[in-house]
Amino acid sequence: MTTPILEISQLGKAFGGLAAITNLSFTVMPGQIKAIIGPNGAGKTTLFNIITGIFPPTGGTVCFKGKVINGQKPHFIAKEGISRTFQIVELFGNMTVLENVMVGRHIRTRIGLLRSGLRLPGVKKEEKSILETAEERLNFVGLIHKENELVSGIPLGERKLLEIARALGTDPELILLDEPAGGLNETEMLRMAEIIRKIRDQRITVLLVEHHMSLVMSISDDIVVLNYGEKIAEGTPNDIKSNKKVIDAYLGEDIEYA
Amino acid sequence: MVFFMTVLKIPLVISFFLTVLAVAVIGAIFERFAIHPLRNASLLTLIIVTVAASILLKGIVMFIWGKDAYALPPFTQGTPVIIGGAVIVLQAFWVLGITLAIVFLMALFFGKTITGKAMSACSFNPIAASLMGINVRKMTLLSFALSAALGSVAGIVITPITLMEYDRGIMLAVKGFCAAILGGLGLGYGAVAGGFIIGILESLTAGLVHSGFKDAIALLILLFILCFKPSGIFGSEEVSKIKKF
Amino acid sequence: MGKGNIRILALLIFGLGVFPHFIHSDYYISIMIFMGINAIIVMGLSLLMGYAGQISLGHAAFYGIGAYSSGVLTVKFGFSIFTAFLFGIFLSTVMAMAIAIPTLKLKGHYLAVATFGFGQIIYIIFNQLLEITGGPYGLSGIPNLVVFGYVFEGGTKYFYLVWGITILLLIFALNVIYSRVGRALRAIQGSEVAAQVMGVNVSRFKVQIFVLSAIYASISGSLYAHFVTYISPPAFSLLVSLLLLMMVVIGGRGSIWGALLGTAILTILPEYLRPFKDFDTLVYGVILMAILLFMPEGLLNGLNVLMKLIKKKIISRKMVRG
Repeated sequence: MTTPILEISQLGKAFGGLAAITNLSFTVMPGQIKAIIGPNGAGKTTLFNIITGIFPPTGGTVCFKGKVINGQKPHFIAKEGISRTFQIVELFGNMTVLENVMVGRHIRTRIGLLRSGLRLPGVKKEEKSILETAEERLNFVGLIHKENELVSGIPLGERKLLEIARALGTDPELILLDEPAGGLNETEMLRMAEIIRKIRDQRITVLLVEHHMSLVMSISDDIVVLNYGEKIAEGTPNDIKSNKKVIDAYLGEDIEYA
Repeated sequence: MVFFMTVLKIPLVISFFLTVLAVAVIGAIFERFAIHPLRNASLLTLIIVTVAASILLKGIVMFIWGKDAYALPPFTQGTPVIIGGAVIVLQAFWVLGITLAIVFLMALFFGKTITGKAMSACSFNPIAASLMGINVRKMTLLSFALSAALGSVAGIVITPITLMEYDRGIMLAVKGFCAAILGGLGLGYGAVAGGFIIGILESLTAGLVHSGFKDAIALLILLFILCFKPSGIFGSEEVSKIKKF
Repeated sequence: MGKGNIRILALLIFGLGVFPHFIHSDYYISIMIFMGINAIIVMGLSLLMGYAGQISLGHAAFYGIGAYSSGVLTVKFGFSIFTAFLFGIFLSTVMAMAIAIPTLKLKGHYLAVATFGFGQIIYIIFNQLLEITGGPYGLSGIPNLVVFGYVFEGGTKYFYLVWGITILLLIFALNVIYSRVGRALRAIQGSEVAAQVMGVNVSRFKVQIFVLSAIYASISGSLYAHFVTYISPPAFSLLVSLLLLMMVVIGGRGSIWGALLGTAILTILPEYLRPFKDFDTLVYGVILMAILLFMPEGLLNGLNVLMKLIKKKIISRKMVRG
């Protein structure tokens, strides 16, 4: 019996008059791959933004490893061990592939402005370790051969993988993937599924938001279904597949059953 | 204006409109040659370009008209009026009157006409606006011409009171800007309110503290507002967040 | 730091080292000294604007704070040159923090406006505090720089001093750029939200880099004061702030070498335009506009693009010829 790594309790978020999330509660167990699905506008990215501290909820709590984290700043939450990728890729377009991942190492390293500028002893050593770890992460997602290329020159499929490599640079215990398969073709999706499994094998818990049902059904241990900001179902892939409420919610939507 | 009136001896009212038109054209030219080619450039580049252009314009003005101060006769001749112990020059009434007229006209323009609403739409979201069939290029051109015209009106009405030299523009523009932000960007009545508040505080500072510091008042107010309520007195936070200022 | 940069650095040091041996004219040496002084403040601005992506329209204020601190404390209060210098840095740091902390939540235009307002207020203060700064009449009699008893009186000696300091500060800046901090800054510029989520304390870094750029400006101001020995408010006006901005942008915003190139050009250009007399403002404006319109990314990038275009033309011509 283990304690949940992430606990969402009665979470609510309203933007002015619009309620994006209402009374949402669910837990994530360590080592799981948990998926959040639901029609567009269901509040999924809002949920991620709240968990990572980009804005606070209007009600409810987010507990990570037993600690309440809602209301904290993003860099604090990153330090606690949560990392994420973005639905619309937010890479650092002004840097190379490798440099992007090196930024991922930021919170696990310490040398500040003065020491860097004066190039005091210790700087070189830390730089070396940052470089090596970053290259390891690139290797993990299979992008090491493009390490010195500018981000603007690589295709979408690889950018998604790069975001993951960068997110892994923070040594997270929980990683949030926001539509990792968005815009990918068949082959790329299979590669993505494999990477996600590899992440779980590293004992990193995965919480993902996804529209591609084939991917969701094939790799998730557990699924939460949102509609209009509320949870309408939760369970294993088999439960969800045959859940009437879920099917109703998706009626008229483009569902991609592979 | 001085040129039209004193050199060409054209009567006041016609000169007024000719001047405003001429400046509006200059504003449009400025937009076409300096702003439009850089429409995709970063904010910083745009700032620099407007600075470089203003250096250029100043150079031209200095070249044509020299560094002397110029005067304009007041719009109506007459002795100043005394109200409650305060001396008010007749021109001041013209300033107030014209200001109110302009605020009214602008409110009409932006609130009731299609062109005005189209322009507002562009300020909120140019992409959506163009998808709705609004010619964003024309709007940008128009907005520069319009603001140039308004600037020239301000210059004309104030010259009979304070004279005008080639480099006075900056401080006036700065204070105008402070007033606009104080009142809430994009709100006509906000700018007027802001202008009054700054003007009154300036005079109070000049009288009570030290006249040299009065220019600083507008700026201090600006900093103060930016720190605590960037959307201004009448502006709303939500709206200013959406607006891509 | 990268081999390429070390090579350019070495070239620069060498060039500067031998410069006074070939050019003896006081006039040219003075221009170079001014260039060095400008380079320091522009490097600081380049870090702030080119790497951290922030804007400052009032940086001349910090330049002035450094200059007036050095000037006032030595002339009016008899402090030692070194103490006055340190005080300038201290005051700049405090003011920079006072400005940066409340304004960093402001974006783009608003931040620009706030820094502009700050610059103007400081300028007015310089003009108004007659008893302390001499107001519009300026402050004269600033002593020459004396370091460990060695007097730096104009000319070649000052040239080496200024450029020596400039090079050291350049190395510091390059070290910062190619470090964890530098990457964090560039990340903030690339995507602020992603940087935050990756653990970068954006507010703290923005303040730090703003303070650093203010310190660079203060050092520059002190060096300026001891060189010209007479300072007055117009040297720290809005126009100067904007000029500094232009030096960063014209050379090429994303690179510190671009900033240095911009400094060189905009320091030398006004001197070339002197013979034009009344036309000078005009021609100046025209040249600036031309550069901005045709090479909005700065000269460095513009030249880069030009080189690539030329290469392409050469290659395609070769192909046609067969």
